[in-house]
Amino acid sequence: MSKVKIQGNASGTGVVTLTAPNTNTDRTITLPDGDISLGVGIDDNATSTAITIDASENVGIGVTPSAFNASYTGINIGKTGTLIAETAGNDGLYIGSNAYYSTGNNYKYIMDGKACELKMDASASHFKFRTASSGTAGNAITFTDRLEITDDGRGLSQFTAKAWVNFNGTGTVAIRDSHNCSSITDHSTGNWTVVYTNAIGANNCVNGYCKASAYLCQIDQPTTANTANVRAIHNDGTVMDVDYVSIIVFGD
Amino acid sequence: MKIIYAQENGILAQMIPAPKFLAQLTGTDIDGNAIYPTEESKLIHLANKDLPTGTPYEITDEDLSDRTFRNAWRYTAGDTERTSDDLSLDDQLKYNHISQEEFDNASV
Repeated sequence: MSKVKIQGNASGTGVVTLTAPNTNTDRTITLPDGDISLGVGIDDNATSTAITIDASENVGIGVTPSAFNASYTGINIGKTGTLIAETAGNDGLYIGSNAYYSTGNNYKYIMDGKACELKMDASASHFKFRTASSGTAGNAITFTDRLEITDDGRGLSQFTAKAWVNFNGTGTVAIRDSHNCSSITDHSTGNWTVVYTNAIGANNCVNGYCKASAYLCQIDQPTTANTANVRAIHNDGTVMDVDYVSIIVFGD
Repeated sequence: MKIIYAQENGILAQMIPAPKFLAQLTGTDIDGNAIYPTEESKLIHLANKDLPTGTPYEITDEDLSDRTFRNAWRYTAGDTERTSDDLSLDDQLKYNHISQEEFDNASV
């Protein structure tokens, strides 16, 4: 049979109050005024510390918290996991693996090995996926941005399309759908320029398809940062208007 | 609506806006007024963005779908001709036409 035990303390003056409910949902337990001390941590058993809160209010789950930068609040999860957010500002939330933002205003390795991080920045409204090569515990990390998802829905990386468009080049040009494309200029028969909404690296890779194998989709070279010039050329050498033109662009 | 202008070779060019680009031209200024209250205002912004600065152009909704003699079309200035302007520094940065460093230097 389970039991409930209430035990007073001869030296203390605080009062723990258990109040009976005055409604069907109201339940109150009143604890003594002031901070509640949990000692060195919350124990899940008699021999180990499950959660540690340090003097800077950083938290370690299963570990002692790293020496986080004073402007940030951090949580260590297990050996290498970290969650970091600016304490007062809106610099965002960082989810790290083997990385913490240190008192030296830089990232440091928690243990020997590689590191990576996902940065969610509310002020810029973007995600950044970053990686770092292998390093030594306690040394500074140099992250490389691998993928950024911007607030207007673009994915900036070496492996995501910087722009694409599908349009009908007959009659008045009609854009069926597009991404990072602000306009298409119809220059003459079978000759168009796709203009990117946001400029990209000039040395980009543009690929195109014009309706059928009888048509070659020619892209002017060298490519430029703002536009792609496209021609639809029939296999007899004549430039033709075609109703399906698809262009996709990769690059920096 | 679309933008028409003269190319260097004399042939008329038609600039067709991407619907998604026009759709994202929203927002209000500090007085609460729409920055782009009309389709025409959006096309003026597009002309400033996608045409070389100083290019004479017109905004028209005329049906130009009959492409007979397309390569012989010529642009003639009308009463509503405009000239493309520079984008603001904020927009140049937004569209990645200048770097943050160039923006900061130009803003000083």
